[in-house]
Amino acid sequence: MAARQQPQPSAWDASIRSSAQRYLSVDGCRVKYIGPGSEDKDAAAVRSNHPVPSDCPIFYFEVEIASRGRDGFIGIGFSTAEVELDRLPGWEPHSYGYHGDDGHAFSGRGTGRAYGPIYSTGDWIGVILNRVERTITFTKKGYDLGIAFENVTEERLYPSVGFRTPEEEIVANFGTDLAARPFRGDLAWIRAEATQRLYSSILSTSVPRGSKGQSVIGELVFGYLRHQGHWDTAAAVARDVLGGGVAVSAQEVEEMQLRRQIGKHVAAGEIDVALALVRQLAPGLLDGDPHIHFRLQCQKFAEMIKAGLVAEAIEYGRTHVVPLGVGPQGGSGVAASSGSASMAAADRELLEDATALLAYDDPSAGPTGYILLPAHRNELAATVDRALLAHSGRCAESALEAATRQASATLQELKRSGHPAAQLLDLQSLLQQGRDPQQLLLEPGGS
Amino acid sequence: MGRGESNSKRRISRDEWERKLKDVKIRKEDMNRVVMNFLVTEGYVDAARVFERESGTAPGVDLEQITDRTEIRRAVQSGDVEQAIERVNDLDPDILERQQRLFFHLQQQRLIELIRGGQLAEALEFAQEYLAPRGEDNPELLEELERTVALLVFKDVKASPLADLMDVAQRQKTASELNAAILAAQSQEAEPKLPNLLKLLVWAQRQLDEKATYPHIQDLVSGQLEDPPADN
Repeated sequence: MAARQQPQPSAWDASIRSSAQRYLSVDGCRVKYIGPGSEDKDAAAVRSNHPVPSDCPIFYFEVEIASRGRDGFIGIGFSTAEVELDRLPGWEPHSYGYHGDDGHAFSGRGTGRAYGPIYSTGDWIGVILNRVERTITFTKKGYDLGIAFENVTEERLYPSVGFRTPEEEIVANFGTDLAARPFRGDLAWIRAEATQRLYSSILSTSVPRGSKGQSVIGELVFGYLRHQGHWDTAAAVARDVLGGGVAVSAQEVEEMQLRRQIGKHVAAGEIDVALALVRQLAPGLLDGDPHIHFRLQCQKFAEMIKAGLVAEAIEYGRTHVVPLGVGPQGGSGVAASSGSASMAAADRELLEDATALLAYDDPSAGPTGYILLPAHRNELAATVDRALLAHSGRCAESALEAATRQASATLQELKRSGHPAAQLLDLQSLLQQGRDPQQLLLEPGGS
Repeated sequence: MGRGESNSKRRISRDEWERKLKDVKIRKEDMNRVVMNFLVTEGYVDAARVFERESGTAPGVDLEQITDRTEIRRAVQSGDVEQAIERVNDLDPDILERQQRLFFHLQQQRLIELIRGGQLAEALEFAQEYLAPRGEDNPELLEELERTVALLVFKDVKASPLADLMDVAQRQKTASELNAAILAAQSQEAEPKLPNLLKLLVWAQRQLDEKATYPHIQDLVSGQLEDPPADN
């Protein structure tokens, strides 16, 4: 279901051969400047081995300044693969950097703007790429310095650090082994804050009113209650929420009650009663829907075997189940051999499984005993219920459930397509109740 | 630079989308809880009580304690805004004192009810005396005020562009705003979760529109799945 896992940045890329790289000593997450460092053209930068995954909503890494070297001319940030590595991040287009010597933020230009404090030996800098808001933010020793860059739209950004004077040295933590090297910053909190802002922006979305000016929520609740057959609540909602004007007909109530009874009988294995009620409620349904008819009769056949009425079951199977399974072109004998053309594979399999029950003293314990279990009966009951609803021209599901289903599927699809913000969201936590809404929203979604 | 930007949207057919929809598991308990949360948060005590009995869903709060809110809501919804204001002030005079915007909306609703009742002279007087001064103080409200007062000039308000103000939904909106303010004053959860669900739906559909074409739910009331527009 989830998008294919993309590799994460896990170390500095020591494999790049460029003139600047000879000025750097790169060892995993550690980099030291060993060049002459006398002028800007001596600058050298590294970038990580992989870009930030494109579906990653919040990417975080830390850089510890092992040594400020001569002038502490270090730049920390991101750049794309096209950016030359003989420049500090931020000097070139598609690169962003926070520089230690002056605390300025650079993006695409040789001159920066005042942003944060300077940083030096022993400091650690947190770097946050927020793909939801398209920003880059830095922290110094855990202190949030605020947004440094906005409108960060590059899809493939690599963490990058640049150097300019001798003996400058840093160690990065990309969070790939948090057990051994935990982050010093509070990533959970950073994520939670970002998630909260995302929820706030979603919750400021306006929902269109109903076409007839009705209260959308009221209508949805009413429709749901009606669909579930909670008639009294539906009536109270119609009165108090919708201001009257809607009612449930007595016929609908009666239909629903019959449907419920049918469901109960199917679930209890009382198929005869259920069949009779189906004929009463929806004459023509069984003739028009041979699949449903077959499944009910097949269940009846299985229930007879369970009740020990083996002879009767065989007789019933021969006269009712098999002919129905074999289909209109008819024929006698075992459906499995002759009726293949007219039977869905699943139905044929079910028939075989049901027939197999005959072979066991205790059919429920046999390999096809599932047919007699509550789960199977309940599923059949649900199938019958859907068929009855469809037959009466009513929707199989209320608009509220349909909207929930659509919201869930759309969110799933967004996640699957690598939409960064969607990775932070979770429908379930939005629906759960009994907790403070703020806390609820702080729950990061699965990602 | 458009590097890496996708230029063609994925097309998800109705069949494919329906399969995805079918895979979504919706638990009845979750739906029931969301409905109960709506009834309780919005102060529909009677309905909440009946719903508890019919569905076995626990309200999660003491229903006795929300009777005040219920009655205040009922007053707004039946068009008796004056009574609602009185009762809120009995409960906690700070609520309307502090929230000018809410108070304005209540007065606006009062004006709407006067117009609905055909009491045009009273409506005009009321607007001039109570609403106009507040609107002048607050440019944000001025526009709403102008829109509401414009109701006076339409003979058939229901056929006017301002018909939405006369809807049941407008009463609902005002009642909900007041209800939420009372809840907030009592440090309780003020917003029901059900609207969040719909907002998420609207937001998510809009986001996915940028990546794919697929069947939508546009009309939330019917919940009908609509095919995406043909390729453009």
